[in-house]
Amino acid sequence: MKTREAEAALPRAAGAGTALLVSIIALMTWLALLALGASVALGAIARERQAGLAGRWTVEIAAEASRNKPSELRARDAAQILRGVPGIVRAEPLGRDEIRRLLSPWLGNDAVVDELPLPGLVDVVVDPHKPPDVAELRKRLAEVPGAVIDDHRGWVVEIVRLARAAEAVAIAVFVMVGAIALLAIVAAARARLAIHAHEVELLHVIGAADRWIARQFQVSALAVALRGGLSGLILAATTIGLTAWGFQLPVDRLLPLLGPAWSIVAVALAVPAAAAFAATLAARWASMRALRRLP
Amino acid sequence: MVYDPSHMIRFEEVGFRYGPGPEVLRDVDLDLAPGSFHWLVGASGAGKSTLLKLLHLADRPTRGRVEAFGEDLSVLKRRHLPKLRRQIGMVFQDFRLLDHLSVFDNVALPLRLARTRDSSLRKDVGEMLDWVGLDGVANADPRTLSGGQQQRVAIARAVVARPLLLLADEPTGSVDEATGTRILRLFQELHRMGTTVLVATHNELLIERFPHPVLRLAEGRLTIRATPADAGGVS
Ligand SMILES: Nc1ncnc2c1ncn2[C@@H]1O[C@H](COP(=O)(O)OP(=O)(O)OP(=O)(O)O)[C@@H](O)[C@H]1O
Ligand SMILES: [Mg+2]
Repeated sequence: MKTREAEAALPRAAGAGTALLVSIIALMTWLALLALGASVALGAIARERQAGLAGRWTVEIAAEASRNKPSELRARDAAQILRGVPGIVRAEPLGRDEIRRLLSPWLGNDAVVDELPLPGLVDVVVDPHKPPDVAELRKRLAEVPGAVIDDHRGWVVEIVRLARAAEAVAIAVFVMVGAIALLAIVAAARARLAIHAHEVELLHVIGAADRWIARQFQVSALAVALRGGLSGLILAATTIGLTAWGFQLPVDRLLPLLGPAWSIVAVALAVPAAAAFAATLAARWASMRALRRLP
Repeated sequence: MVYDPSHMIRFEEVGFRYGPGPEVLRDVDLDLAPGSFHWLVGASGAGKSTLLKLLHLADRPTRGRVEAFGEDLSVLKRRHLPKLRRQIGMVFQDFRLLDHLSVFDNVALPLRLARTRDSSLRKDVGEMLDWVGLDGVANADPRTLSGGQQQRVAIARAVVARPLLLLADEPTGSVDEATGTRILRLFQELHRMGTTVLVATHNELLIERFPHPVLRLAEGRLTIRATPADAGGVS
């Protein structure tokens, strides 16, 4: 009833100005959703990597560190030492074939590789709840020439930092996009007030309260923002779908990392909903401000 | 807010100027008694529309005191004005119909502002259009109507919500004599039902036919000339 009543008093927002605003809000929603999606996905991937690597360390034995003992044998020694340390669940030297397989991306599969001295590797599984002290391990491994322990922490920390930075940028983009959309809505409300100054003045003098007139602008801003927001949502879903398909992203594995399906839908819908809400408030603010200048 | 029905509108030494321009109204004293009927005359540019604008509470005087329904306008909060304005019906000289609304919705506007229920709104607007002889064009776009028809839409809109005070600026300016007479009969009827009426006009014939006290504006000053068939008090 209130909506119908409000719609009756001012011309519906229509024409090129509205189409422009709908497109602006659609693009803003699209950008915001992509930024949000990227930040959430990066965060989830970083967390997965962090968790996956938390219990796995590696000991690497440089091939050329000792001429007397091949790296394979030294790897066995290292594994022997590690097995006695509390907090280490498993320490297994990798076989030559496995090491070759791991190194093949760099060395290729030529027969010549057989001649090359290969480093030794020990795969170490630690108890993630009480991992052994890395410094202590280094001391013990000192007796194996060329042994270096890698807890992957440096790499994980770097990835997590990178993801956090990307997340921060994405959030900044999100906020900026929201601010620009608000400015556009305020400008549109002002333009509408100016275009319909005669109608607004008439409504004012025949006794329409400011709130009553402002509601007309709110309703049209809400309609425009909903149209723009939903178009942006559809665009963003299409873009993300095409990206996942084009770059062959493992969606089956990535999606569950983001959270339950309903929460993804809820967040996706929250963005256009927030746009609609903000548009209503912005239109109200702009029109109330202009109306207060009338006698 | 409670307003006093024993007071309609009272002006004390009211002056008004548009921006930095000359004073259009000067030292206007006026006490419109409830239930009165007045004519307002004056040469073109004398300030009739301006006086009506102040009576309509559409603007505040640049000096002097305006009291509406017992409320002093100079101290009244802005948010209370709409409710007072809704007690006043105004027929604008230039009609001021809303082009994007049908004739029906134009007339319905004051009722919608007063939050009248849909069923009684339909009935009231229908009767009103009947009364001004426009029941056939309820759904028309006002731009497609003749000047006289538009004027009658403006009149219907001004009176549909049964205002306490009816102000009309040249309400017969665009209609033939017969229609003008019909419009005045309509105003007379509203007046008999208790509405206070003030009509600005150039039409001396109409004043002769419907004798009421005449307010005259000249050089921004207001004088009054009573006629025999006085229809209400004036100070
Ligand atoms: N919006 C305005 N801004 C500036 N001056 C105005 C404005 N409206 C009216 N005036 C001036 O105020 C004076 C009175 O104008 P007003 O319209 O009240 O006269 P009127 O008696 O209604 O004339 P008419 O019989 O032609 O309708 C005129 O000199 C006019 O130029
Ligand atoms: Mg005039």
